[in-house]
Amino acid sequence: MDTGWQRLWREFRTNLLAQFGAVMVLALVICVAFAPWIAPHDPEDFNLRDRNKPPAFLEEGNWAYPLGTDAHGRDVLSRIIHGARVSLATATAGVAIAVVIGVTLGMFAGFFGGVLDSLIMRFVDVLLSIPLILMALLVVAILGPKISNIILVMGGVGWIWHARIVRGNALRIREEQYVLAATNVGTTRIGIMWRHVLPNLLAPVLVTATMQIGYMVILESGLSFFGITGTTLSWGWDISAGRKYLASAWWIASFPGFAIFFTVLSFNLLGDFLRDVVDPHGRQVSAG
Amino acid sequence: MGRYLAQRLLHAIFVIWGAATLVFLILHLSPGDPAVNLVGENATDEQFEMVRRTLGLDRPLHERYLVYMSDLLRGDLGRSWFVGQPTLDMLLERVPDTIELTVVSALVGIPLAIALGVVSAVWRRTPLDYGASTVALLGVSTPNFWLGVMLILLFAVELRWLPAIGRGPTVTEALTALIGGDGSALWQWFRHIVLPAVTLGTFLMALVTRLTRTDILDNLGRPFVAVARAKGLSGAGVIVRHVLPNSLISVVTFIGLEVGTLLGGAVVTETVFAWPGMGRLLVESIQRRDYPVIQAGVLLTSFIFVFVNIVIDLVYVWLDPRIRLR
Repeated sequence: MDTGWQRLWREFRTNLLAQFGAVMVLALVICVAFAPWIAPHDPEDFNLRDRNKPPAFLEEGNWAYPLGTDAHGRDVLSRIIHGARVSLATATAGVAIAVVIGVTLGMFAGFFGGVLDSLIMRFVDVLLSIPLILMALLVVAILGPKISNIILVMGGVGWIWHARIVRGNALRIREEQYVLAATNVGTTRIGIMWRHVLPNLLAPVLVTATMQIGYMVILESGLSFFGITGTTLSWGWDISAGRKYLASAWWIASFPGFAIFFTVLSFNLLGDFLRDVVDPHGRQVSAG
Repeated sequence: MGRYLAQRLLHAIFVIWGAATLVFLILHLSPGDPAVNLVGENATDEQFEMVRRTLGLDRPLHERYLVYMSDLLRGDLGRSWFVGQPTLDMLLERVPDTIELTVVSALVGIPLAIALGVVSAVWRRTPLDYGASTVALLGVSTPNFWLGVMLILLFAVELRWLPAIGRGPTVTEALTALIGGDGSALWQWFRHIVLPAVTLGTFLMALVTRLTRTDILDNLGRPFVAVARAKGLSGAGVIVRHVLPNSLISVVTFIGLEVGTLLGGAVVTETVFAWPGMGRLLVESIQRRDYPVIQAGVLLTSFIFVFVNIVIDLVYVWLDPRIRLR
């Protein structure tokens, strides 16, 4: 009998879309880790003689700036490579916090039920009624334009995704034979959660977390687009700055958007693949 | 049924109260004094203290909260610190534009999404399915603010077919003119709303397509479908009479939960297209720390979310006899 990992690998080898997603994510991770060595130019290097240069494949472009330059003569490609750092690091950190809070609260809510369950789920309802981008704009504008504050919002609101899914699964697992058996032999409830419930939750949480990273990349870029994240080296910021030059230098706003698009697409492809493998009938992970 | 409605209403009030309290706490527990923004940096200490006293910012937190709540109970949402106008008036002036935009996006996006989802599930693993699934996957991966900018680039800057930003006539103005025999206002309305509506609706459309497809595939494998087929019902009959009603229940519930996403998308879309709605007002108010407008705006957003979900619950009861008869 093969393990879950072997099955995952077997399915992965025949799934072209998942492979594409994985390669893209790997490329992004490399960009994040080695940006200064990969990028052809310093992303903040002003070069006033080479302002708004078109990409290399257009007539007036040249290969010194493969994707052209922005209004200050900065290399668009280098800015995209460096921009991956902000987006991906922020999103991953935010999702990590969201998973820890969401799994803990969701598990307690589903497994213990009662007042604790009601309290947690009502809080989820409240957070659900405020649009995430509005909440994020509010918190970041009021607490200050810092990456740490963006991560705080992502974790502080993003946990409701995981809590809802984990709670549903915990409710189901609680009634399983092996849990009842463990209770009968005297395992404590915390012990049961740790040893029997948590391992069964990992698969659905992994699926949700993968898709959530893509979603949070969009959120971070959106906040940068509004210019409130405190960094100007971000995909969202460059799109916003490029809006002024749509008629004369369309590449400034266009290429960073493709970077976001392909990043989110990759995480969605991986998420879809993982969901199809761990949960073929869509019972553990609600759609979305 | 009556008991169910009462419970639902109580829950709604709780959620709105929770949202109001949460935002109050975020605003009032944050470091930094909002009065600084009002008086400017060159103000004297006396001026600064006077502004704080006028706004009630010198009082302790629990007193401020009690004042806020008692005002709220009397239906008083406060006045803008910057404009001086009642916040409710400011919001109500902007809300129709936001509702118009979101409703147009939803009315075009959701039926299209359900159709795509059905086609995709019924003709699974055919080019039709691959096409629809690809559209949906691209849709959920595209950030709306960038989509808006790209649509402006293509249709306004390059092709010059549509205006890049702005509002045009409202739907009421357009329809009034149409009744008067003048169709050009309706055309202008359409020209202005099409890009913002596509920008806002794409994500929801893609999300609902994916959900509909999954849910229909799930239902197609259930025993009641086999029974319906065994009775001799045609393929289309099974879908329309048995599968779709079942799937619509989960799709409609899901859409209710995504109302927040739609309203959040409106905040972004309105900024990109200079659409004079509630979202833009909120962004401006957040930037200048106009607490009463922010509080009222979030309250109204939460209210819309809760209200739409209650309506959806009622539709749900109507769609699903198992609940109706309970």
